[in-house]
Amino acid sequence: MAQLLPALAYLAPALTILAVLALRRYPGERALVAALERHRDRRGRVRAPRGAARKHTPRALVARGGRLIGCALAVRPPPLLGLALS
Amino acid sequence: MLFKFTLRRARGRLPAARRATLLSAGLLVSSAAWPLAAEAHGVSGRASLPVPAWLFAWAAAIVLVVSFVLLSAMWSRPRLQQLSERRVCSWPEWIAAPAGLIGLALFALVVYAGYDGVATPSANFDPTFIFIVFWVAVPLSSGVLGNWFGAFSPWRALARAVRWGGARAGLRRRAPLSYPGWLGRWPAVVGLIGFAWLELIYHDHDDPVILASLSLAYFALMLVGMALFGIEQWSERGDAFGGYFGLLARLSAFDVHGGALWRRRLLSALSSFGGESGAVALVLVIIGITTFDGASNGVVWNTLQPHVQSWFTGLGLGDTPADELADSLGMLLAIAIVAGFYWLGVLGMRSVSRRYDARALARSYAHTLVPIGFAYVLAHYFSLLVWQGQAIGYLASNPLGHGSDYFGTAHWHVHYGFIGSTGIWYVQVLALVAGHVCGLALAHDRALATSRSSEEAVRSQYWMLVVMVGFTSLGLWLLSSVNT
Repeated sequence: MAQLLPALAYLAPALTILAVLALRRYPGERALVAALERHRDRRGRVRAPRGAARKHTPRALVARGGRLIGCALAVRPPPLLGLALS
Repeated sequence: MLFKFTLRRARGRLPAARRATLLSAGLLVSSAAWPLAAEAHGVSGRASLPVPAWLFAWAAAIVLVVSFVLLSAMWSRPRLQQLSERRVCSWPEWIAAPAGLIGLALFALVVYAGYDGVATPSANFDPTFIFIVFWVAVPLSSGVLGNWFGAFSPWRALARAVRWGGARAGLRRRAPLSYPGWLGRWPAVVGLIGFAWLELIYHDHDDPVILASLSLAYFALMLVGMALFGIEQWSERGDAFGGYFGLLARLSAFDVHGGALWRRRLLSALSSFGGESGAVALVLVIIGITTFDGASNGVVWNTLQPHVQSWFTGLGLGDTPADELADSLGMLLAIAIVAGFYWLGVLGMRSVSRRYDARALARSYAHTLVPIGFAYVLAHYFSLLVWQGQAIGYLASNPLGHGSDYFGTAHWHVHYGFIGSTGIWYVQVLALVAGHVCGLALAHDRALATSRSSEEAVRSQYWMLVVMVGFTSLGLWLLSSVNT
């Protein structure tokens, strides 16, 4: 048994952490999760392309009224509708 | 007992966090109460350290905790789950032939030196080449340079030569059997345990004749396996050494295949490892046999082993068989302890989320142990490699020990002043810490890829932190307890 005591000295850091986890405690968890999600959000904003705002602008997808007649008569659809249909 | 008493009295009044703090403090105080000499043993010599060696375990633990915090906070998306390679350079396919010839020539030299050389292990080429160059230098270099062994593997080279010759003669033959999924990596597991038993336990392990005979037997077994299941299938899964070297080679940022050198993200080739049968066992055995190698030279096993041996002697066995059986049990115990460390982490992760069963989790995270295996091998065998490995210089000129001097290096000798014991201790500590930080990074990356939420990912990694700190501490204790 005496020979195992030095081993325990080396294993003390692991045993310490294990003891905390065995009591279902995760110290610093909230801060780490918040930091992780902040980092994810920051990466998402940085990576968003320039045209993203434009893409989210609502636009008419279905031609109605005069535009409907115009589309039927035109050789090619109006630019905006053409984008919406593409 | 003092701390248990404190815990009982406090339970009614103190919250759980306080109890954990008391328990941790108790462990800290009790560990500081043992005055340990600042010792670290390599193959020979003692390191002179500025602080007791056990404090290095605490320092390593702090490094791992800081790494864990940084990974959790800043590594926000998986980066290592997909392998992406870029070709650096290529060469003509015929280059494989001379590489294979070199491997075959070296193998022939091993057999020749074994049967015709002197019986003195230190003067014969075989023990140094097999136990230092082949068993230590090849896997370590594979971890850095990639899987170069495949080109030099003598049995693979002969098998490929036979296939090429058969194709030229118009004989095309497919492997009669498909490699069964249930067999997986188990042949490699058994092979590695067998080699470790030979190296660490068998009494005549450095007899050149026995080494040569076993080498021939292994060669024949490999040829049979490749003939039955196919060269590439068997080389990766059935060849103990090919599988072991190939596994460590996944650590590297380089790979050699298809007649080219490829570059990839460091550690990224590990993500696909672990799903096969026996994969977890393979990594645990690699760490376990190295653990036993260290423990067998330490005080604990040297105190316990005679009792186990005498028990076997009492059953009627002779001294040598009893000694070998006792050590065999010790090796299995070391593997079991390593497996226990890992399963503790797996069960802890399972307590965070019940979506996966324990076996699936164990396979999913098996690849995180590969850097630990590499670190253990490097730390444990570094001194052997840099000191006794120099002997290959003069043995290459005089492989049979009969006084030849083929390359003019027969007069060389080992320079022990090349690096001191203190330097070796620091290399060992650095290797262990670096390997475990890599293991943490791999585990964190896998958690991000498989967890449903950030909470689940972060919480599961607390348990992997325990595993990594535990393995680091175990490795440092083993290194410090090796007797000169």
